[in-house]
Amino acid sequence: MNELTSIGLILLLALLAGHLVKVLRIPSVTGYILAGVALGPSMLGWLSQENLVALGVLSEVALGLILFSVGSVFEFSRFRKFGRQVLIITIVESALAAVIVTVGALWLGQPWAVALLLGVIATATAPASTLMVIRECDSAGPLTENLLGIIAVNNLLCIMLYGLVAAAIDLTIGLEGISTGESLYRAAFWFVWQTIGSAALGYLVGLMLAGWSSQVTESGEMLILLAGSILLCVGVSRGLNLSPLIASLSVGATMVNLSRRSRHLFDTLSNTDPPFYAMFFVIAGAELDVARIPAMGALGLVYIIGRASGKFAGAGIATWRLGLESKVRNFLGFALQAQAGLAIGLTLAVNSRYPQFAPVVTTVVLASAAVFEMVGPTSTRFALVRAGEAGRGKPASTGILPTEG
Amino acid sequence: MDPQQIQRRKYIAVLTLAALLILSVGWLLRPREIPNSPAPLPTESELALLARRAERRSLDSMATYFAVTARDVESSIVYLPGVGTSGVVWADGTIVTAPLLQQAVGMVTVQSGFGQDRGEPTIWGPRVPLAAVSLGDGLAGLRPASNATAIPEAGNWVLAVWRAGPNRGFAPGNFLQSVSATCGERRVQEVVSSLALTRIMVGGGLFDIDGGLLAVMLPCGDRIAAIATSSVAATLTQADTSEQRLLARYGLVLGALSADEAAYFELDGGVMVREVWTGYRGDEAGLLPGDIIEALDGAVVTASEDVGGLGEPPAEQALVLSVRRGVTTLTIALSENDIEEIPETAATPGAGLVWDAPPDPYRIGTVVPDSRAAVAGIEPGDRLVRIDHAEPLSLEQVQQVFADATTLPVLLDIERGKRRLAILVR
Repeated sequence: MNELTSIGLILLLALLAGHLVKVLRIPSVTGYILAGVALGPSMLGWLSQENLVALGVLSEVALGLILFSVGSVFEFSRFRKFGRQVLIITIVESALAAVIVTVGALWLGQPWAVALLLGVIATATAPASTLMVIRECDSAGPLTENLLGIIAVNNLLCIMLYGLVAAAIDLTIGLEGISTGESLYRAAFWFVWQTIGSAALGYLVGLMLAGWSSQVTESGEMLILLAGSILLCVGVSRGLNLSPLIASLSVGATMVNLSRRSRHLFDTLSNTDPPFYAMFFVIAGAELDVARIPAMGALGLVYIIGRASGKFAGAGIATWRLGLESKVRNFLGFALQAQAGLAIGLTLAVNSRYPQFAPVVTTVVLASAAVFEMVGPTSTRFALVRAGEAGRGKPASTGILPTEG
Repeated sequence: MDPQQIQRRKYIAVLTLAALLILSVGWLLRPREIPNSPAPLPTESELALLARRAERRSLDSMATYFAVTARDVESSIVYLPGVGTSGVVWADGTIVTAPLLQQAVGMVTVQSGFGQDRGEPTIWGPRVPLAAVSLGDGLAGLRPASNATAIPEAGNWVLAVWRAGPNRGFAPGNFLQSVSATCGERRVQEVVSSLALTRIMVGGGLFDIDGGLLAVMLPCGDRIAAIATSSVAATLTQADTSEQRLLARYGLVLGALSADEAAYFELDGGVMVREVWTGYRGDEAGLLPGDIIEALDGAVVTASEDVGGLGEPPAEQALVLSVRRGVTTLTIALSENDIEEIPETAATPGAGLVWDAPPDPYRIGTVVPDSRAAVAGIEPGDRLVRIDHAEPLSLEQVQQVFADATTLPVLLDIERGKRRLAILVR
């Protein structure tokens, strides 16, 4: 199948699947993902691996735009209000998920490096599907505010934790032909470079975007400016070995703090980006290998149960200690279950950096991502609806800067 | 401009400078070897690659994956029922398989998933650890195996694929290393994997997980080895010579006389039979090591070029050799089918005496380094069959040949394994 046919097929079937699942009160995101699973190589095979590779650039654009949107939660005035509690909740829920998964893996006899890598990957919550569910539900309120902050901070935390664990593994097992001193330098450098360096790049791109956007009035021009900036940011990040995820977040954060026109820009974006997001989720679904689920074994079950319970318990304990209202306490755990892109991305990093640990980590994470990505959005929607926040945002709202109705 | 705005601009300027500084300094201080750095977040194409790699590494989905790869390369693997081994379709359309037995040479039946065809052996014979069979135009449906693009890393999956009649067999294993080894008389590159190679796999291919051919599984003495494609290609090139065809067809190695040999035979030049392989047509026709070929089909032979016709495709009629053996001249017909020997003179070796073969030809136990025998190329384990065209009469005669440094040069007929060699000891 050529690329144009596959794009057309993806969009139409995504729309169809989105409509079908709405009848079942399931988020469209899940419909898109299920359509992807059905079309992908692991089931019908209408979308081949070659198609998926060719469509990869569209996914990159979509992921950059999603993370740019998520970055808007770092608006200084709002983050000053929510920042501390978001940080505490994120640390507690991530730490509990990581600890339970790590201990479970050690209990099943896995090497400490594998256990720690699985623990770190378990902390990640998918920003894309969570954000899309928030948008689809037009959700606004304290749960939504906290959730948006958490998915932004959670991904930063996950990347930093991975850097620390990778540094520890490098120092312990040693790299061939490299002294301990050099190993230490490498570990420290890449940790700092991937976090601070990525943020610095995102800031510079965001500054350019904010300055230029004040001169642009038409929505079309605004979109060109935004798409150009995001593609530039992702491309340069790859060239410099920085993290495109942190850089894109940083562009959004800079833009929202420096430009008075940021809301106009985010609104423009939300009116035009659905086809990109539909394609992103269908492609993400096509890459899920559902046939792998039965192969994950006891370790996979421990990972799924450990991560889910860690997120539930962590979110519950932190919100209770912070004295947040009951609907946040009761439902935040449900909203944090989705997991996909970042976890799969870190698996790739493990695969290239520690091939000796890759078989176990890859099987467990890819299999459980298939489960979490299909169940997670429904769980998030359930939380938002039961907390009474669905439908409270302005209809035209992006869901990125939710406002209470 | 209000003070707050000025302050804000200052912050922005400071942050911008800091960001530029971080990126510049970080870029300058980055560790040199990028491959050891943490991988950046993946692109979608990298994710697709991950899915494929992961599939290879997950034991649970391996069986299906291997079956798919084995099916993909199936059109490159054939079965040779007459020989009882598999064969790999090579790049130029020939089939590479295990060495053919001499009796099997002729047209060979080749079975594949697309039917059956007949092929003609083009390369075979002693000293070559493989055989090549040309299918001519009968390659419909078969596809040459594509060579692997890179040597796998230790631990990567490899897949042995072969045929047993109409059935395809495959076995997965892990690549360990590529080593230089000896196969028969050749140095070859051998692919070592965790697979236990067995007779049934002979002639089959060892593939990487992408279906790229790494090696052909061939017998090397008593063991089965996976000979790397580079060594197979080199062997095919080197074996496609007139000398190799002569050896394969008749079991003969011929060579021009050296100065010492010419002096020994009191000839100005000529071509000597240096080796005769047991069981081949040269042996059956009665040629012996040390025979001097004087004429081929009536044409006088004085140099190696004059016997080139022996290595060309077989003539319809038998080739007639005029051969000098000691004081005797013989006419020997070399044919694909009929073997005849016509003595021209009545003289019998050994002056009228006919010797029984000794119960056990004189076996050489040890060769003293730098001795005459060692310099001539005699090895421990060789058996001495004849001295100067005649069977040795006694052990004393044999010892005398080697003991006295002043002894005249002697031509020895040595049996080494399945071949007989002519060696001049000075």
